Amino acid sequence: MSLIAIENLCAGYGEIGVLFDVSMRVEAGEVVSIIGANGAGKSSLLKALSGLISPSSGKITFNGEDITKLPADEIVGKGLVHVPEGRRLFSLMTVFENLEMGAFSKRAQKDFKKNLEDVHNLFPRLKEREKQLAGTLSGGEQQMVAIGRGIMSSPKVMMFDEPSLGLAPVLKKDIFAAVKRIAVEYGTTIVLVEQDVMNSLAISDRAYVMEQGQIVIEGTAQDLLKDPHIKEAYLGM
Amino acid sequence: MIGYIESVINGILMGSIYGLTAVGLTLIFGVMKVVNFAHGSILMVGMFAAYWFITLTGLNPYLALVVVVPLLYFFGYYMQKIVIKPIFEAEKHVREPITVIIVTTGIWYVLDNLALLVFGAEFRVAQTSVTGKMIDIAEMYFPVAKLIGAGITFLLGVYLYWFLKHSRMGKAVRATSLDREAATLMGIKQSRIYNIVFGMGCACCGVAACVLVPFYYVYPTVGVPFDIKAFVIVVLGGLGSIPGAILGGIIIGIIETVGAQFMAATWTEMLIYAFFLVVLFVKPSGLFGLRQDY
Ligand SMILES: Nc1ncnc2c1ncn2[C@@H]1O[C@H](COP(=O)(O)OP(=O)(O)OP(=O)(O)O)[C@@H](O)[C@H]1O
Ligand SMILES: [Mg+2]
Repeated sequence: MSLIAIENLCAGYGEIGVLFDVSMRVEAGEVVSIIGANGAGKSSLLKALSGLISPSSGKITFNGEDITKLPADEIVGKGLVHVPEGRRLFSLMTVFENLEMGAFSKRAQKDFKKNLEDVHNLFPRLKEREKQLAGTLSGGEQQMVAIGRGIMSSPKVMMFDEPSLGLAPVLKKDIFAAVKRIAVEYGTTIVLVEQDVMNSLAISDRAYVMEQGQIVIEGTAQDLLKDPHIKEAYLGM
Repeated sequence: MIGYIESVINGILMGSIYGLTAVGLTLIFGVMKVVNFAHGSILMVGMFAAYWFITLTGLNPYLALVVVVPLLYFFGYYMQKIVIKPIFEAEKHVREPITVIIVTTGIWYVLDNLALLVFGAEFRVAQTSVTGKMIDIAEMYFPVAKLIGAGITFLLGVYLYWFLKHSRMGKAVRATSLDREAATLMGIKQSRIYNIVFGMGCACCGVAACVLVPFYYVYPTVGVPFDIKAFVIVVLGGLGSIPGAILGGIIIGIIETVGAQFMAATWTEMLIYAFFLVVLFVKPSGLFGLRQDY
């Protein structure tokens, strides 16, 4: 049984359809990338998974449980955690308070100490910056808080939406390394939406390619790196 | 000279109570981005509740707090849950929900007219142990009821500060006001936060009502002047800012009482709006306003 199974999912915003008949699966322990051009529907797919938009048809199961109609605030509690595009930190709250908010759900409260240790382990800088307002951090630090906040939610699956967006190449590498460590060290399953196709395929097991709200290609990361269409359209080779 | 100090202090006392009603309004606005036009009417409901409690039981007037504050908390809680929430959800994708404002205006009219129907238009004064009592401090005279009122307001301010700064729910309220969607992703249930915030905003009116009744008239449209002042204060202090609301309230209180030394009361009203316009002109986001996009 797949950890996440999406069957024939259609979703959108109000009357406007954005996702059309999307089916995919994510196995426990995998790192799965979702790649695609701007506006392909990658963020919308993550929003449908985390419950921010409700599907018009289709089915999403998580851990064997149907979560298609579950509200977003309950889905986090199940361990399906969404680190949204653009970081979306609570700008006028401190780094520590942001992390505390990550641990809001009941399940996460129990693991507060352990998760905080993990976050500090992964990003020692966040411990130094504990009392600083999140809005005053640098872009790289903000992304660390966004990821740390996700870890505080005790994720079984972490879904990242363009975590390396707008960061300098050195910082990008750090962020990809952190994602990889979360997968390897904590055994967390990862769904990674990225524009940086090369770096994200490098740390992924499998990948899906989205175009205009549909999955058009799927395969192992290695196969996709060799795919001529991918090479041309996404790797610029 | 001493007369001015006396009226400044009196202004601070009354202004803190204005600030208190404004705090309730700004709390609701800060989190829900909804202007509650029924706010003054809720104050009026609280004042009638306090008036009848005091008149019927003959107990110490401040014991009314124990009854009126929870009453208004639940009034606000269920008003949001039953009346406002469905409209809010229908307008989920709308960036500036207007219908909710129309609904709160509707609630204002319904409450004021219900009060008129039930209690009549007459002005009532509660006869309490502190009504009309003055205290003499360093040759200045202050109404005891206003001193107690300002003291209670101060305590509530401290509590609200603690709640928002340190309690788990309070932090969730702040997170929601900063980014609704991100807060949802943390597992914070928006509708529950809204219920609580609306309840707390109304509970602030409950406290204000209880401290006003010992020295203020109670009548069906008593909320209106407070409402108008509260709007001015909220914008003056900066939308959504609690310290701004308290400071704004105190400033308005001082202008009102000190101004009354020189001119008729109708002119002090003008002074308030003139000051308001000047502040808006110089700093459109208000005294404590953030350059945040609501
Ligand atoms: N809140 C919204 N309301 C209406 N339409 C939206 C909304 N968010 C996204 N869309 C539309 O949905 C489509 C898919 O957008 P989405 O954000 O999912 O794309 P994406 O693949 O994440 O793109 P990007 O790489 O630029 O982040 C776009 O056409 C977009 O205009
Ligand atoms: Mg996107």
